[in-house]
Amino acid sequence: MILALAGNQNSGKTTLFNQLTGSNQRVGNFPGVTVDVKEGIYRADKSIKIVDLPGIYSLSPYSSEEILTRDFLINKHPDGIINIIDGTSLERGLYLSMQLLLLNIPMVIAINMMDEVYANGIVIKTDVLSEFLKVPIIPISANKNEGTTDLMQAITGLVSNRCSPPKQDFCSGAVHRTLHATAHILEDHAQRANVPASFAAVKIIEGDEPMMKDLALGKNEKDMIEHGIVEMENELVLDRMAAIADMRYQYIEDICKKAVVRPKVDKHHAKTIKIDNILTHKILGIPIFLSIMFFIFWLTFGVIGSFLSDLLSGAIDALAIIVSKGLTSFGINPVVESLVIDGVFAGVGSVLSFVPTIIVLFFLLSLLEDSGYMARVAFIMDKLLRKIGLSGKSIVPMLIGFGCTVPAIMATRTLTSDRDKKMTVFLTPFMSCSAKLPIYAVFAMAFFTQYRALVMIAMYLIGILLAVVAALISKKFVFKGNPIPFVMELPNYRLPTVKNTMLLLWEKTKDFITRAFTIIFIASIVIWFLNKFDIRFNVVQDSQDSILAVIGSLIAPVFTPLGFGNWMASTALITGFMAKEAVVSTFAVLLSTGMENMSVPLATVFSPVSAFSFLLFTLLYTPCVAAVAAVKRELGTKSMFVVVLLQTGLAYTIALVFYQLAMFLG
Amino acid sequence: MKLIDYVIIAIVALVVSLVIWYLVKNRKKGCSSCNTCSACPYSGQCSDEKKEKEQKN
Amino acid sequence: MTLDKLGIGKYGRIIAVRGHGRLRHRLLDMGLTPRVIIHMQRKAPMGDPVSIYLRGYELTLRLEDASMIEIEEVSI
Repeated sequence: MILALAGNQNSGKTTLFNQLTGSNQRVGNFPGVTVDVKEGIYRADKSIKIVDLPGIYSLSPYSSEEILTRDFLINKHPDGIINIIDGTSLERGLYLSMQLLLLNIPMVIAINMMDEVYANGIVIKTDVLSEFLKVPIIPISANKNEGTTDLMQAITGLVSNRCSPPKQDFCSGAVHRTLHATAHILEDHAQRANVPASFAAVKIIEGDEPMMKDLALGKNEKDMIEHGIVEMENELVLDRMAAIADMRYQYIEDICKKAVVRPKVDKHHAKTIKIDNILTHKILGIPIFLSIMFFIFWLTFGVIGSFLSDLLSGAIDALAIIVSKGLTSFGINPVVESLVIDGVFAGVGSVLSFVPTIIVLFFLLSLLEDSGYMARVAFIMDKLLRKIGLSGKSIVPMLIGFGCTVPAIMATRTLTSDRDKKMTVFLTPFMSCSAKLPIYAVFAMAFFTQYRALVMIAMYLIGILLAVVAALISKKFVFKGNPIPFVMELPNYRLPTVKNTMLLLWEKTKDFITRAFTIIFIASIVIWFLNKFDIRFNVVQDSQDSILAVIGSLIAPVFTPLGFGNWMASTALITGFMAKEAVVSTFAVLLSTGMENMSVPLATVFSPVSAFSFLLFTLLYTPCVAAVAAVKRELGTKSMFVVVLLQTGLAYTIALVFYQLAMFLG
Repeated sequence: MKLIDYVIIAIVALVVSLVIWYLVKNRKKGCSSCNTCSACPYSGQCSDEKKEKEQKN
Repeated sequence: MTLDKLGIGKYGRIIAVRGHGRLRHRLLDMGLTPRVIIHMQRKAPMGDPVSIYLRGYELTLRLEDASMIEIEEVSI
């Protein structure tokens, strides 16, 4: 049995999905967190598969992730639909329900966020609503797991008895007549296309193009339908789109009058207004946003993150020393000891010690997403972003990009035009991802000790600045045209739940540690091996003779004009393509040091100027394999190569200009 | 080299092959980029690709 | 008058939604249909976009798109 979760954006579908299936899918408090179809198995009955769909407002989709939902509902024919409605904005939710009811699939309506509904003093008489809509209506609180068992009982009951919602009329008068006439005309076409006739009729009247194609109506039929629609338009003095929307909302208003009692003041929204009076203040709004971002990075680099990371790297180094002493006392072969200490400990340890910093960054970014502030950022930044050819919605992927580029590129699905989507995907790599953080930290420590935090923040600012310049140039020459219209729901503020935040942090920690022990581990051993042996597989005394040095020296001259034309730097850059944190682990292995004393040997490889040039290059050069794959998935192979070449070319140019200028000026 | 040297080398080799096996297994699922991470937005697609592969087999 | 001219804190009743295509469809889907009462909430720091309150939720849209929505001011 396949059950689909459908509902408006930000109505709590994924929260319910997590409760029903026991998964930890990402939830947040802004419209469009889920951009992909996700499947899970119901905890209490393994034969039931539950599918979480991206949020939609109507079955006339607007952006690419909404098309996924429509296609799933119409073409994949789930056995049942759980329609989730946010109880605080019932009318808009029911608007979608009225379309879902026409799909001829067993359906239950779950009114979610009942805890907020009660707290707000809203009364929803579910029995009255159910009488009108003729489907079961179950009040639930997905985040507290209340009512979910009743909900599942109701829907499984309907599905096993194949009880589709009974056909009923939501309208009267001209719309009703036209709908009926149209449904009759296209009945056999609809049957062939395997869609319910009444649903097809509404879509055709709305002028829905995919439906037009699916039905393959003849010219005669089209003319007849068109004639009917024009008659309706003349009678109502409303065009077809407005007539249908108006018909639905009129019906909803009628039943809500009987079933819902709203208090004069919306308490929850009143609180939101108070917060917004400050956070989206006319003058202070943008400075507050910038301060929040600055504060996030300052906490991550300057205060908590670096403190925790220093502690951890100290502990890892101490452990390495103990292990090293132990191995020596056993009289282990020095090469084998080097494998364990310089290979495994140095490589994996250098990355592991940054787990706390990255977790702190993810924690702070998740607060932006979960509180509801993210939507406000889009709201206050829209006009500025429009100046560089984007819309406010593009800020969401970009902020996510500070964490990881992969989900950021996925998040561009919520953008409704190809132009905006493409442009945002191209700009997202400029937002320095969290895996580059260890690189900045190590180099800043070694070469700019006094200005550590400043250099790191400078990297982020340079990335953003170049993104703005790149946007302005591409707006002029490549992505002409206008940014998409900006129509977006601003959800009420909500306190992020401890459980959610902890789950997210746990997932991120697990992911990062898994990478350290898989990709980084293998890379470290390979690098160690290539660095320890020469071409005839003899142990080298001086790593200058190693296989790696030979290979690296072939590439190194390319980077000589940038100031880091040595084989270690070029090796690090190549491993960095696999995963950015591998740049640091590679240096750790090559210099055979722990994190704490990396500064000294690093200074033999770089000068402060060439170090900064190297940082500029790593900031900008091609995103890692995973991110490149994400670009390919979203935009195709051609765009993927464009991103890789463009970013690398730009990185080269910027680092070149910086280094040559610095040398020239002395 | 002593016996214990070979033991350590064997352990490292074993771990390396386990990790490679793990990576390859995940790559087959089509989620090499996101290991076990269910917070990853791609995890939905993973199950799709897996299913398609199963159907082909 | 049109929605973009509605003062902050004022109420308006929609008469018609002009414009065309997908954006218009979206506005209708979001509940901006004739006769609905909307409350102008605020303007973004740079004067654009605006946010409005209707049917129990808050929606933001640009002045340019708001100018497609014809309203009459009402007092509540």
